[in-house]
Amino acid sequence: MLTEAHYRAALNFFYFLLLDEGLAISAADRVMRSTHRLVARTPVAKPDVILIGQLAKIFDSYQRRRGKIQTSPPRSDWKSSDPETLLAWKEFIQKRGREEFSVALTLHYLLGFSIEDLAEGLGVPEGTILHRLGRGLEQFSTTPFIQKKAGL
Amino acid sequence: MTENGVSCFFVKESLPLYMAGRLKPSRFESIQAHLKTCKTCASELRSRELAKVALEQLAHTTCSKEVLQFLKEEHTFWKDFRSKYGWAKWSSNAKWAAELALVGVALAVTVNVFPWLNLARTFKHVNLQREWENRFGKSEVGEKPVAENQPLGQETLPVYGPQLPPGGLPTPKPHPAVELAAHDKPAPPTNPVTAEEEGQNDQTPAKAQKGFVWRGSLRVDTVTPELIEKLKKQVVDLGGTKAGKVDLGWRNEKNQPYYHFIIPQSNYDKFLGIINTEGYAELKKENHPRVIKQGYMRIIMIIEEEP
Repeated sequence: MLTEAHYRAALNFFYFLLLDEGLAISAADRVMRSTHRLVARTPVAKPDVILIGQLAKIFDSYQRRRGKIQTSPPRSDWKSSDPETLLAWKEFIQKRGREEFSVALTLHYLLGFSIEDLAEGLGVPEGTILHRLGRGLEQFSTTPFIQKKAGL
Repeated sequence: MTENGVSCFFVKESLPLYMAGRLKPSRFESIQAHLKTCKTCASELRSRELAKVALEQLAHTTCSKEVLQFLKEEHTFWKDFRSKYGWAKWSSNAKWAAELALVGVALAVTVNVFPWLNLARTFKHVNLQREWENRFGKSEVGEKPVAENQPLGQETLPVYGPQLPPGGLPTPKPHPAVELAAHDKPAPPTNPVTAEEEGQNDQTPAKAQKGFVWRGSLRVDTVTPELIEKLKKQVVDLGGTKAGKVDLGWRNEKNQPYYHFIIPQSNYDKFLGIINTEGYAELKKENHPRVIKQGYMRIIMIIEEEP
């Protein structure tokens, strides 16, 4: 059964990775529709795992369409408690890293999915997920924002 | 640099597992001991911890309820289309323009498609009937009821105007200047026409030159009975019929085969093609008082030998 947390997760996933609110909404809509169908067909499977699989699948078709950094959108449907970190994240997504690292970071740290669900949803071993998380975190920690915080 | 039995490279590679708490206790302790003594690795761990904290703070980002509600609603393409471009979203100018266009299309369809002509004919027909009845009284034929079992469309139509005589219309007398195809009226065998008469008939000056005749000759090396018969057969095959009172291939006073016939105009080119294979043909169009049927040609041709 899909809950509101799943809808939020789908919206935030694309918001953090596509950096475009309109695209995020349309992509999340596609993901939730397909996830609904799959959950209804396979009630045994975990909705989290199905959602992760659909997020990764739809993201591949949307990633080329993502826009530039939106520093000050005229009307935003998203509210962040830490705008500086959000800006640093957007710069990180725009300039650095491989997409598989940022996808793993988003799913685990930003959306809170467990490493086991990530491994099952993405169809890779848990060690791979840990590797991607470590590399992603390493890359994000080298951004000026984090370096400044660390006093380096 | 190796301290406490582990290298910095190994520690750096093990940091994700260390942070996730997925190392064996012995390995965990050795890395922890290394981090206490190695500032570089400790700094690396601190940066990653800060990055992790920053990401966890970012996880509190929320989207608005409207977006969530939009996502939860079941929306189809047409539903979205109507909500975006529906009639309520149109400006007043666009609405006026659309209404005007609709009225214009309706008018155009009405003017072009509606059977105005049939309506006008019916109206005229009724008026004529009334006028006739006013002048001459009701026509009995017009009041004849249609039989019940008569098929639709074959009922007896009312007749207006003067009635025909019981025997039908008298047979019209043919106009002397008009001659239909010769086969319609066969030549009387008891009164054969000589060549002189035939020639005189053709050369009689007409008062009104309304018709045409193609007159000429076909010059061949030798006139043979086979050629005469062949041409006769070809003319008949092309739908030709004799027009005068003599048969095709009749020999005149100069012993020349004489052809006077009518053929369909559409076969004239074929006829020319045939006679041109036999010799040199020369036909000229001339005025003639006799008029023949539309689509037919009258030809007078003789066959003569080359000098």
